This record gives sequence, structure tokens and C-alpha cells, in this order.
Amino acid sequence: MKQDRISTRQLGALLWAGLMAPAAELLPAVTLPLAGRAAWLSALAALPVVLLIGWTLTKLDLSRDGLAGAVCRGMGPWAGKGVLLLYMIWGELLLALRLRLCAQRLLTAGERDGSLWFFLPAAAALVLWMARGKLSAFARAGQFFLAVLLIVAAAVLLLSLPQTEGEHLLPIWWGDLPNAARSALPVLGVLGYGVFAAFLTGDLETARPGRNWWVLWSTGGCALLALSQAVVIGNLGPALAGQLDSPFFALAKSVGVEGAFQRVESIVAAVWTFADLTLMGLLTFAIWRAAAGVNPRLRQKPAVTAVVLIAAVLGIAAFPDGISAEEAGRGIALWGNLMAGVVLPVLVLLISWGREKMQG
Amino acid sequence: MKKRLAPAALAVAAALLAGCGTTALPYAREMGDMALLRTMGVDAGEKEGDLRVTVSTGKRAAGLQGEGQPPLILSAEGGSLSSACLAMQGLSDSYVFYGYVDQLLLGEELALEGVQTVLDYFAQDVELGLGTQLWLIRGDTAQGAVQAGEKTGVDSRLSTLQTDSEMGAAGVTRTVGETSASLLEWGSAYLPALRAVEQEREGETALLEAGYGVLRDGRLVGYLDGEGARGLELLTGRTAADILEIELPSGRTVVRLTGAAVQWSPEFQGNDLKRLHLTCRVTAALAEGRRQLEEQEQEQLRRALEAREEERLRRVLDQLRSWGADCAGVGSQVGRADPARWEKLRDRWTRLFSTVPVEISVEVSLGAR
Repeated sequence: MKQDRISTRQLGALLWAGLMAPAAELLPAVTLPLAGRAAWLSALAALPVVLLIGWTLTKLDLSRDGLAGAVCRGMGPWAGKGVLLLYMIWGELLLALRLRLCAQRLLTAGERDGSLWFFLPAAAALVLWMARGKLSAFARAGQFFLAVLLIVAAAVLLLSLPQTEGEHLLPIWWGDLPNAARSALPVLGVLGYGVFAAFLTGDLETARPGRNWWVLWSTGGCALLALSQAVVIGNLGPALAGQLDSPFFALAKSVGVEGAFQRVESIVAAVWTFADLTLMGLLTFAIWRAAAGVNPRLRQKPAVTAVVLIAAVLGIAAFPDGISAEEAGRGIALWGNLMAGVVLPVLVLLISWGREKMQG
Repeated sequence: MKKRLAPAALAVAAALLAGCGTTALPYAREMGDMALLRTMGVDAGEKEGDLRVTVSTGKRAAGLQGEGQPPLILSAEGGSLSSACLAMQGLSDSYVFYGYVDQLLLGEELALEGVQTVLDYFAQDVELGLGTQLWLIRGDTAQGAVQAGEKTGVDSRLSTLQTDSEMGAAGVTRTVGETSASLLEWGSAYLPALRAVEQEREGETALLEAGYGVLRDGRLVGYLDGEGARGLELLTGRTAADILEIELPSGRTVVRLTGAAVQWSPEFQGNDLKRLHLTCRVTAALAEGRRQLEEQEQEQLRRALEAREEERLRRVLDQLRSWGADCAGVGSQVGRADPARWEKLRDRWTRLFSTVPVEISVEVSLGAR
């Protein structure tokens, strides 16, 4: 299995392609109620915390056997396995939620057609097919998905750019900055999905020393999130964007080129399935890695099959309607991600340091 | 494992394809069986609180040669937009699809009652979008305007107006999103108004530009016509197809306005807003007449233009201030000029906009033709 390695760039591509699913759904809808017209600064306000978490993870020495190994080493075998179980349960819930939201988006893109009983199992089957294969093949797909997603997002944002009005983004004064800082919390909740990528760092090829690619990926990603939020708010205005469930997809509805194509939102929603699949694949691989940390004898194929089947059943049972799934996606999922992505890694590092000092 | 999974997958696929999944699988529709709507008109219904929705497909291609068919026009009334749109499905033998609606007409009576419901519906609906162009039908119903294009469809006329506007040959157009955002941010918005006019040829009706309607709190408060409408275009920095004939001592000179930019400078006394200064920079070019004017004539022309433009700005500002409708976003520009003080007067802006004295100065630059 250790022959099936991926590069740092591929892991970065998987991470950001996956994060584009919740980011497009939730930003700036969850930041606007906190920061108003300054909401576009939220991703920049979140950057220092993202860099701090990145630094924390590098200190945990993830290159040996990923976050699963680092947790067990840092917290001791029993407490470590307890934390890994928490990550597995949380990852399973997130996978169920993402399956439900992916099926919901495909239903919406289909203009009133189809049913959850078709789209959710179809999405689960695709995730299962990817997760039963090699990680390196999934990583190569992730690179392709990221390229397609970035092209589509750039097309939507560039075509919307001429309609962007400065009066929707400015003036911002000192009084707005504390609110912008507070709005970094939901952004960190969105980026918190990314902590599951840390479970795959044990599968990375040996990186050249002195290269901190994660700093570039984090900075570039946050800058792009800030830019995309600025274009969305600049087009729709903070008040209107705040009333919409998903301002990015609402903006995509307004995009068109007369004489060439008039409506692109269905294509955008369909392409965004790539982001969903990447995130769900990433979660499945990560849950398997966490499970392998608890029980090293676990084999990949039966483990990921169980993970995806449980998530599919949970997705239908726990979220019978789209509204409950959306509420969970912008409520409990973000708070849980803050705990799993920000609080837990810092806690693991502190306990790890404490144990090292106690052992002399 | 593969041997066990394959029959299960085949069984599921067979069940779905054989009909067990007819409600699960997406329903396939032929384009020919769909009525792709292009224009929607919304009016106040006959019963209080009801809405009448009229839709048109525009001219449709049909037959092997793509011969044109007259547009399909449907009209239904309901207690809400959703029920009226649903009722429309029962009137047509095709599947009615709203995803291509890019022109929305609002009747005057509905605008007087309030348009927020319609704008919210466009923001939330799966098929309709915020990029739809919005027009106000002055002194008439939207149904009448949609039905005016009985033979060719009204959408081509509206698309032409939209294109002309982008090229600066017609007035300013607005989308549902722009109007909705303006109402939410500033409590007011302006809309291009159209009037249905009977043509000389019997039975033909044309939609002509008729100034701008101004909405406050979602309701129509009045219209800006002629010089007032031109003033609004100046105030928003969007000059459109403006030709001015100026009488000089040496004769009539025809001038075309080519650009305008406005700048608002607030003057404060402590934290109180004392006065607003509006500086409008206009660029203009000779459209007809002699190639080169004497220096003295240029100065006379510049002064005449400045007086004319100042009068337009004063007229539109007086009107908007009397309605308490800052639909041109003056508050936003004041805020950008002094963000610190703006924080303290933001909540009082609507009252201040109507009461604070405004000083207007216009600077005209005459350029080459």
C-alpha cells in the first residue's frame, strides 16, 4: 500500500477541489449576517488561523503516518484511539450530509425532475467506486476536477465582474473590522472540512526540504475565497445576497452570453458534483485511515464499502428533506468542523508537548 | 466481491429502467414539447390581493425550414405568483418552462400596490433569475404590453432596447437583481418605463421609452420625464443618447453628450452634515455644424451646456428629495467620501437626503467630434 503515494500538489488539489463544494454553497451566505458589506474580508481574516493550524499540523509530524498516527503518538494509544473514533463518527456524519446535499443540488439543477432515491444512491455508488480504487488514481482525478472547477468558477466570476459595484463593497470603516473578524468563524467552519486531508499526509511522497507548499495553498485559497465573495457581494449587494440560500449559484443564474449561451446554472451545478465527489472521496479515504489507526488489520475495500453504505442510509434517514440538510450544513456542520479542524489539532499538539516534557 | 456486486447493480438498473423507477429517474423532455417563455408580465389581479401573470414565448421556429410561428401567449390569475404560474401549465399543451424568461414587465397598478413580492419570487425561484430585465408599463397593464406583440412577440423589441441601452442609444435599463438590491439597501429604486402606443398601421402597438418610474419602499411614487429623466441619467453617471440643440448668437449648435461623472462631497460641521456639494463633469462633442468654433463661441457653448445640465440635475434632485427616494445611491457616495462620519448619520440618511442643502456645479469639457 505504501507504494500508492501521492504528491503534495495532488493533496492540495484534492483539498481545495473538495472545499469548493461547501464554499460555493455557504459563502458569503453565512458571513453576511455577521459582517454585512465587510463579509468579503472574512476569508482574509481567517487566514492567520489557517496558517496557525497548518503550523500545528506540521509540528505533529504528519509525514510518518498521517494525522491518525500523530494523534495516537501524541495522546497515547487509548486516548488517541478515542480521538480517532470521534473523527470517524464526525467524518461519517459529514459524508452523509454531503451525499444528501449533492443529491439535493442535482435535484435542483434538474428543474423539478427526478428523486432523491435516484440521485443519492448514484452519488454514493460513484464515491464507493473511487474509494475502492487506488488513492493515487483518486488524487489524479482530484487534479482534473480542480482544474475544471476553477475554470467554471473563473468564468462565472469574470462574466459577473463588469456588473460588480463598488458601493456594495465600500465604505468599510474601523467599526466594520471586528465584525469581519467574527465572520472568519464560519469560514473556518467551511475550511474545517479540510482537516480530513491531514489523514492522508502519511501517503505523501517525500517532499523536498524547505518547501512549505501548504503556506502557498492556504494563502492562495483564502485570497480566492475573498475575491469570489467580493464579486458575489459586489453584484448582488449585501442585503440581497444575505437573503439568498446560495448567492454564488444565484449569481450563476444571471450569467450568460447573448447569442452563445443564455443560462449556465445547470451546468455549474452539474460541474460542482466534481467538488462533492472529491470531498466525499477525501472523507471516505480519511475515515478508512482513521479506522486503520484504531485497528491496523482493517482492509481498504470492506472498510470503505461499509463507510459509504452507512453514510448513504444515514443521508436518507437523518435528512429526509432538503431544508433539514441545509440547516445542518450551515449550523452544526460548521461548529463541528471548528472543533475537529481547529480545537482538536491544537489540543493534540499541547497534550503531545506535555507528555514529551513529562517523559523528560 | 465484484461477482456479488454485479448482479445487485444489474437488478437495481433493471428495476429503474423497467418502470419501477419512473418517479425516481429524471423525466426526459423533448425541446419541441416545451414552451420556452421569454417575457413575463405581472399585474394586479381583478380580486384584491390577486396577481395576473401573462407570458409570451416570442416568435417560435417550426417546420423543416424553421418557418416562424406566432408567439404563444398565456395569461392566468391566482392568489400568488406560484399559483398563477401553476395555472399556466393547464392552459398549454406544451410543458411551460420559465428558465428562459429574461424580460419582466410590471403593470402600473401593481407598481402602485407594491412590487416586492414579485422581486422576491424571482430571487427565490429555481427557474427564474435575478438577471432578468425589468420594465414598468406606464399608464397600462403588463398584459396589454405583452399582448401588443401578438404577431412577432414583444421580446425582440425589449431585447433591442436593452442592446441600445448598452450602446448608449437608449435609456438606462435595470435588472431584477439591481432593483431588488437598491430597494433593500436604500429603500428606493428607479425603473425604465415603457408606454404602449398604437401605431398608424391598424392593430399594431409599439413599446416606447417613457422616462423612469421611481419606487420607494417597493411602491411607485412617481415618474421622471424629459429633463428630469436626463437628470437621473447624469446623476447615475450614465448618459444615454443625449443630443442638445443650443442657441448661440452665431446660430444653432448641435452637441452630443459623450460622458458624465458625478462626485459628492459632504461638508460637515462637527458630526452634523451641513451641506452636500455635487460636482458633475460632463464631456460633450459637436454633433453638427461647423467643424471648429471660435474660442468665444466655445466659452458661450460651455456656459450654456453647464446651465442646462445644472438645471437638469436640480430638477431631478428636487423631485427625488421631495419623494424621499435616494434611488441614485447618493448616500453610498457620501459614505465613501467620509466613512467615519457616515457611520453616525447612516440611520438618519433618508431624512437628511430630503433636507440637507445641495450645491451643484457642472464642468463641461468640449471634445472632438
